[in-house]
Amino acid sequence: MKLSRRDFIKSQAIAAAATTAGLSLSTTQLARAKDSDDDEDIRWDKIPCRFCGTGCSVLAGTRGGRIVATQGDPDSDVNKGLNCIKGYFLSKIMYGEDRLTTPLLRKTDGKYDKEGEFEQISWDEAFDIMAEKWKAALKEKGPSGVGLFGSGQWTIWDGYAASKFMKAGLRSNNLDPNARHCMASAVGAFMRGFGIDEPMGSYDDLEHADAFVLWGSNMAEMHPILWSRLVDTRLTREGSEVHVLSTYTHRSFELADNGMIFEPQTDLMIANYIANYIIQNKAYDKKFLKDHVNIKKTVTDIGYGLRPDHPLEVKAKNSGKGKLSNMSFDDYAKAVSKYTLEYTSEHSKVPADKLERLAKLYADPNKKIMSLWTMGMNQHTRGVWMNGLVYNIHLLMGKISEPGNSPFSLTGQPSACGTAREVGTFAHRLPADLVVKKPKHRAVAEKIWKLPADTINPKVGYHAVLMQRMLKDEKMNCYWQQCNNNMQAGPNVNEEMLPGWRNPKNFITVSDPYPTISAVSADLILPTAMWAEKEGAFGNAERRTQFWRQQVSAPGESQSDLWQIMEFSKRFTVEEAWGAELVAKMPEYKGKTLYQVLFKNGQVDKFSYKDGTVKDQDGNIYQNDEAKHFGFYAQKGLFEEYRRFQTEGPKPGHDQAPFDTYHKVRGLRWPVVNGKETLWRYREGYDPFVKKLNPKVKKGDVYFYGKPDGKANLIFAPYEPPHESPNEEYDLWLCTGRVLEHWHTGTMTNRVPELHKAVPDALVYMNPSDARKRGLRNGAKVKLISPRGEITTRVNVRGRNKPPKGLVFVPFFDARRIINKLLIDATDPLSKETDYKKCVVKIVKA
Amino acid sequence: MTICSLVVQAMPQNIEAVNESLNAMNGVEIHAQNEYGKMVISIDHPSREYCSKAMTDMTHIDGVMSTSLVYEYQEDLETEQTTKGDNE
Repeated sequence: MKLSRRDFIKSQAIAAAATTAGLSLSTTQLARAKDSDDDEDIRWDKIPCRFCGTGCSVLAGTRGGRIVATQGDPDSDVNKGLNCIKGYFLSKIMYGEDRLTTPLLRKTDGKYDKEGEFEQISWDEAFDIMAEKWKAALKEKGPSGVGLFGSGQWTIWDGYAASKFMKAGLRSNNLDPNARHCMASAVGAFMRGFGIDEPMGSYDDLEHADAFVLWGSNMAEMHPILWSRLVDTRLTREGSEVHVLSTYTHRSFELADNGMIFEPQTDLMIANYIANYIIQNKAYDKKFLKDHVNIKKTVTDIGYGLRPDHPLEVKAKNSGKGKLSNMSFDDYAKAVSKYTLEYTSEHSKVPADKLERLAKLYADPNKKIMSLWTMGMNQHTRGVWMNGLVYNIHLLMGKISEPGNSPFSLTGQPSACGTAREVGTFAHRLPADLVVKKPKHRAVAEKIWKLPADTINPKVGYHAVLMQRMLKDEKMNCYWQQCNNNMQAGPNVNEEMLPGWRNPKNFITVSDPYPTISAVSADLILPTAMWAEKEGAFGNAERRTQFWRQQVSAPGESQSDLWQIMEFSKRFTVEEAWGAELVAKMPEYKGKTLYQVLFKNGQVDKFSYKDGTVKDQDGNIYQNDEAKHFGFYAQKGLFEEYRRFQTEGPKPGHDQAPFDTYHKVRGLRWPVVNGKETLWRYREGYDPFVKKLNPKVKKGDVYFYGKPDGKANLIFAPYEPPHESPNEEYDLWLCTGRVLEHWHTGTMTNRVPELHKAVPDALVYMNPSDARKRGLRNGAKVKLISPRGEITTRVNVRGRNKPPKGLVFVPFFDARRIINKLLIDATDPLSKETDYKKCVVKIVKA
Repeated sequence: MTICSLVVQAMPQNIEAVNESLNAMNGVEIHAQNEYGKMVISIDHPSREYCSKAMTDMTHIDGVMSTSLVYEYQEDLETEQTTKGDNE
């Protein structure tokens, strides 16, 4: 029994791998393991992975109310049956020993006390104290007195409900996601360049491209499954090559045909040099430029998103400005002509032959190129500019919006696209690329949400970093954080974050499954149902929307973010939230609660729910705790209402399929028209909106319909120096990021004993000569000190990351060493995204 | 008991050396491979922790470009059999 069972499972495992790899063995279909294995009573169902933005689909095996196994989903187009090592441990992320199971409030002698100890309380008591504090803040400060900080890990309906609650319910735009820290620069560049967010291409480009250029992305560790697809193309396609740009050597360099280490910030020069090379060699696509591109320049000297009284902001001529103006091609050519090979090589410290090889690759009309980037380009005080400079190269060559020619911004979170960006949970946004400052856009939202005219606040709210400053300055007094660990992930923790959280005038609520640094820094902790414990939907980096069913129940009294928001909305009457004047415009709302107006509005509660509503194709029945509690299928109602923004708003091209479709498929890439997904946008033949919006378009031609004249913007931006650079005292650059085994702040991966043991501590990776100069051996205990804070850790000079002289790398997953204490809260002035990749430090023996 | 299967991608010029390194690992077997360096591997070991470490270790073998997991099964056979005995 024991032996045969082992052999059986093993043969299944091997067959699955062979099928996935396309290598010959027997091709047993393994997806439904239970069919061939009567011994087991495991129910298998699809669910997207909880971690990065790749959006791998996994099959989760549930037995006895617990997820006991996961495997790569062979029917998924994204990961084709594969999983990375984090995916391997997915089944364990919900079962950490310190899972929170009841609300906890800081109390002394049975009463709320900011300085008290956490005590268990009921949900009722939790919402009582929270409502009391929120109402007081609203009364004193108005809508700007409260704020909700959400996440690119929220499900689509978590984010949609949050947006509705804050923007329609409390009339406050103080709603921002942690995706601000990760994707805002990408969004900014998409909107400026193309007028619609998110990549034009898809992951299919990984199989269509001849060459790949990584700009500030360590895909080998951070997006391992996409990396395996890239590796496959590189190793099997004749003439395929990989170029990697970074400020330090990492695992992706092992595959690189042309690896380039550049001095931080000089990526701005490198991209302009490539444009210059293309122009000097007359390699650009004249017709494409004439037909499809407007050339613009952006105002310069825009500061670093610091507090307005910071000397760098005072000094900046155009602090925070992003105005574009027209530029002729000749002026553009002249502007980039400064970035010669010699100049760029000298400043970037990349050998000239390497730079030239990269430029030649882009300039070769016969090479299809996929440019890929993540945080190296986004977490950059000139992130919007830098994203734009890469689009410039693709636009110059016309290498865009077709298979294999693809500038592609990768994402770090599972629903940075689906929730933060598409639902628009940013301080300036509404769903489907609408914005709060445009009256027409607000009117669309007010109509769909059945609100009185002028309910939505036209004033842009506080963004991620500003929220923290406003807490510290007592301008915002109530803050609710869901689905992220900002106290570990935000910048300049000790100077700009913790003081606001612990200020007695402020009331901080954190919803979390685990006692993270954020949770224990709060006043009220709400235990949260996570991932498979609720019905959910994520949108990945290639515009793919994926749904899952609730697989298991959450422990104790944990409830989903959606439940928490909807339940909390019951605590406010419209009079309290809106004021009598606005209510008078819609007297039928008189005396109603926000819950009634926002969620029991005849739309969100349209779909009834009883046990058995959620079923898979095999007839397995799934629970839906929110639907059961509220008495209607909330997820479906919210999604169907949200979809109206895609078709009734003034911005076309966002269409998603009806709710029920997504439970049957492995995701679809929007725009979805007549059930058909779109793999390449803006090109006739691939994107149905091109012909619809430009009936005269020629076959196979491009039409950038996000802009009124159908043309994309090529936007010139020069090199500008970073916010700070190493000096005599702080003589090193610090770059932060992730490692393969851990995801972000480690809230989930650190609860998996195997992953924790594999990489327990955040080490400082440094160049051996920098270590020697300071008398440090491998493993030596050191202090890392910046002008803002310090941590103690150990040196690694032989690890997977190999920084050049003058730069060190520290990952941010380690809650015992909060590296973000050292970071400056400098942001891209346009996107407000923090620069996590460069600040100054010194290292001394500890 | 933990059994998992993986797809490993190695640089074609390193296939032999990678084969040797993989074969030297406890519980690791190579079941198929092609000329582009793609291999089907299994790890069979009582400890799940060992399997995850082996997966990480093979990622760091010179010439290995990527390691992806396909299938993973884990159960405590001892517990399982005790439970079964009780039921019968």
